[in-house]
Amino acid sequence: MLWRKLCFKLVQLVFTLWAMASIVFLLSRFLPGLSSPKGMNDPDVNILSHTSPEAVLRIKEAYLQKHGLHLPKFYLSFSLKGEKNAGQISSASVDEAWVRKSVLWHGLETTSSFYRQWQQAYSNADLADQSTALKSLIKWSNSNSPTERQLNVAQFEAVLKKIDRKQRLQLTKEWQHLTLSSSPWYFFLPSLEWHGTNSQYHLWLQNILSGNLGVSNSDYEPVLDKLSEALKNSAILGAIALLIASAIAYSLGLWLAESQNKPFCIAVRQTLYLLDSIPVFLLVLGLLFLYLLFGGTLSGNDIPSEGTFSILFQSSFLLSTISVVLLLLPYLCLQFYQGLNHEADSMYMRTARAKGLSINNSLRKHALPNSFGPSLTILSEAVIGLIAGVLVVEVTFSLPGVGSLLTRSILSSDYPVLIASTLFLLLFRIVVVWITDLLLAFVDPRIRLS
Amino acid sequence: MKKLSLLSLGLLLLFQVSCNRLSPDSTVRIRLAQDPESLHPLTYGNAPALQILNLVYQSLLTVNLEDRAIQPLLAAELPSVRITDSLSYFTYAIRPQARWDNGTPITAHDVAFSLKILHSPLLENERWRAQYDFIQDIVYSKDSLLNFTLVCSGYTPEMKLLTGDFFVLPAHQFDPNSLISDISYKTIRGKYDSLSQSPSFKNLAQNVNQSFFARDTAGVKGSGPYRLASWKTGQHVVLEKKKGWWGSNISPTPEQLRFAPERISYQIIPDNAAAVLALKAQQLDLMDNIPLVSFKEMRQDPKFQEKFNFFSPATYDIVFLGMNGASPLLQDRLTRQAITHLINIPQVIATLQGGFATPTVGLVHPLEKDYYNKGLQPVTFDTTAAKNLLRQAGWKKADNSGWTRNQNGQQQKLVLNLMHRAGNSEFENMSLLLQQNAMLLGIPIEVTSLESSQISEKLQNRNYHLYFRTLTGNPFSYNLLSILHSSSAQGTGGNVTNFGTPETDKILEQIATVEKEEQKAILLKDLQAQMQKESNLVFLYFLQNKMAIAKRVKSPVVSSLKPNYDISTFEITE
Repeated sequence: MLWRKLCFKLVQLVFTLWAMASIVFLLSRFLPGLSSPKGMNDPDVNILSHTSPEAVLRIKEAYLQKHGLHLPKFYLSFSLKGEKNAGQISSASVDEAWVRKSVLWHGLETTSSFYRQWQQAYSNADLADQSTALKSLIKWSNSNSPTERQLNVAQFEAVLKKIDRKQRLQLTKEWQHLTLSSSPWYFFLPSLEWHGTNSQYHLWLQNILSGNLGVSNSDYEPVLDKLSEALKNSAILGAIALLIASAIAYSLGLWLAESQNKPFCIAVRQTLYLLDSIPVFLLVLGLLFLYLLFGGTLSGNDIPSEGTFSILFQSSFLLSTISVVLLLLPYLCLQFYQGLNHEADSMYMRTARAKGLSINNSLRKHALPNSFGPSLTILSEAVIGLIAGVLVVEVTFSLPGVGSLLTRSILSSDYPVLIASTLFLLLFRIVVVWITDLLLAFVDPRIRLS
Repeated sequence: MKKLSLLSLGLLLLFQVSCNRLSPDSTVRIRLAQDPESLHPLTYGNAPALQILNLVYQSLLTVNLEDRAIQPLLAAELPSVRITDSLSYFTYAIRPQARWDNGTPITAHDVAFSLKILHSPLLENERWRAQYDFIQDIVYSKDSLLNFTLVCSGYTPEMKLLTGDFFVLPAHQFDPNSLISDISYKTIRGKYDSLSQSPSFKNLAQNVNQSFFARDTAGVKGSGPYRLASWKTGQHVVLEKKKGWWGSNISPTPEQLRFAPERISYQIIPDNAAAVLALKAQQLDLMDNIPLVSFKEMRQDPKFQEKFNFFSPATYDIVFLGMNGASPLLQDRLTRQAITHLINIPQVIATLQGGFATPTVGLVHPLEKDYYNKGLQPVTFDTTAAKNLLRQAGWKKADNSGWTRNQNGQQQKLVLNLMHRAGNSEFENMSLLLQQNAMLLGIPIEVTSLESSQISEKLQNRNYHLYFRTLTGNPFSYNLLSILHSSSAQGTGGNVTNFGTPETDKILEQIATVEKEEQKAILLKDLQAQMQKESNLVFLYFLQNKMAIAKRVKSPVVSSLKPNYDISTFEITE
């Protein structure tokens, strides 16, 4: 029975992971920054003084080919029927975009006869006219609204007037014919297209299944190496901090519950509430300030040290641990304390007291095991929440963990690392929830039996 | 319990403090806001990386950050230039003393190799292929291994710097098996596509595309004065001066080969507040781009005046408002001019920049006295003028429905959208101010903040009305064809505001090739006037950097060129 449940859970885990990974991958492929090479993203503010627009275009196309970005993104794609039909007109690559729009808006036949005329006129016109006319036509196809489109139609007609008379007459006639006709309604219906295995998704999935997460596109380091390095730091930090914090939190919580109304207890409780309400970044900066005030140095870090656990001896690591402990402590402690209090009011506690057990003994023997279940859930929430807390801490103390890896990969558009670290965070979350479920079932027979 | 834990925490802290090994005092400590990510000379991706690479690798020429003169670095002197109808020839000689770390001399073959890998297939070199598309061939001299000539297509004045602006890389390190030494530069350029299948290039790519060259202290190694001593991602990068470096053995050492700091420690602190704390605690010798409030506060505090010198050097980063001349609403220049009257530039500079910005009439920095058009008046905030211009453009204001006009039988309504980069609080506030001012006139503006690549996509598709952005200029080149010429106004071209008339095209083409200063000045002034008239791009102000340098750095040189300081002059005094 238990095994079946476990297997079911495992299948569920794998399926969730696959679905998440695919969504993250496909979304990342729609990011606009991906389609141009590094340093050529913002043509409006990057001045490439000499290079002709044609050369830039050629280089960008070669880039897409090299990285397989010209392939369809998925096995299937949706396009409008009209746009698909435009494939029947064999158009030059510069004309492809406007021909597609033209077919969609005005139908296949009219576009095809206009395009024939256009090709003839285009080859006979002189260079300057060619480029203005083509530009105007492309602008027309890029119209974002019907009003804009009409305006652009008028503009193209104005351009046509400048062309040599002989060519113009026929072309204008075809143009008017084109703009007056409209495409059949079903041209606007979506149609499915099957691309088979030659798609970006398929190639990516193949790589992933063979354990290849790719290499970082900023420094060629394998993504797995980068992630495991960062993970090591985060895990050490998180585990140590969590251990310290939960040890302190549980003993402190028990002590608070046992000695309810002593003035010192109340003071400690209020301090915890205060600590809980301080925003993370403020707490972290305050610690850094104290550290620097005491004469701590940042540059003390820059002397190279080797070894797996060298991070343990860095001041930034210690500071981070203290910060994370301070982040976790109030939350864990107060929740646990309230859980105990809640149990203390229940009937079985009254019975225990009536039978002569002291407050302390009844708390430890009866309330503690009962409040353990809810506090486990809270602990798992804290562990998941730790990721966000650790991110702020890592950025402030320049600690190279998963959080800062994620921020850096976003800043430098390092998509392979971005996908992998997002996936990791997802996996982490799922696994933590999963383990909590199992543990809960283990400690609480009521859950197990239901 | 709590007391005990606090006590132990305190003790741990003290222990850590006392454990800290202080770095040697001659170290210059500089704050970087971002990790360099990659120190690969081909594929590095951000400004901190370039800053560090410039100390590790060298190019043929360099620019003096103080007087902005072009100086020979690996080259013995500036190249001699010969120009024919369609080609130009730049002849260089490499300094005979120049050596790689293993003692072998730097020769023309290394230069050729560096050019080859800028154009080789299978490498991440697209931007360099685009940038150096104009270098057609390299011809070795018969007499000496140190002399060579670069054959370039056409001639433009900035080739004087560009032909010597790429890193010269050690061929023996990047191509130890001499896989491409026998293949000529011309062949690689000509047969790009077919060579991507050749085993030599596949092997070369495998070797060059390695993280060894991007982050290993043994791999990041050039002819420059410093070697990469250590790099802890996200924490610090340390450079140490090479002992017996070839440049310091030349006597007298030319100015461009003198480097004062023995050790440079770049501290990577992404968080501004943490960096300011570190600066205040004197853990840093230099911090730039200090947040405005902290900068002002520190500058006025006698305590910090004692420890730091404060600078606000001019930069060539120019903030502008772009308007989409291809959109039906902003197609005519009168409407665009009207919008320009809705920005209160002095107010923006005073409130958002704290006065640390230089207003301008165009894309030339007012510091460039010969080129800046003093005759032009800066655009003023003037709602009456804006109203008049709108009326001239055919817009009519109805009381409740805003501005409308009839264009080619179509009814248009003046409702605009404005985009800026998300997370940039200055742009955010500027947008709100513009939105407010436009509302006074009854023009609704919808503000959206977007991620940078999303903005680029919208710009590329000409699917926008207004945007704020920063353009990084430089005083060396006014070749603006790629962003202002009408031939770049379609597809993936850089002219996204649809700027350009036949007249401005002609001016731009002339500016790109003109050699004489007086003529260039006339043309540039003319361009500024034309651009103000057209108002596709409204240049608002040039930013100033806000920088603090510790007083223990003796007479540092601060510059208007990036990174706004010359680290080679940073001498530490105690």
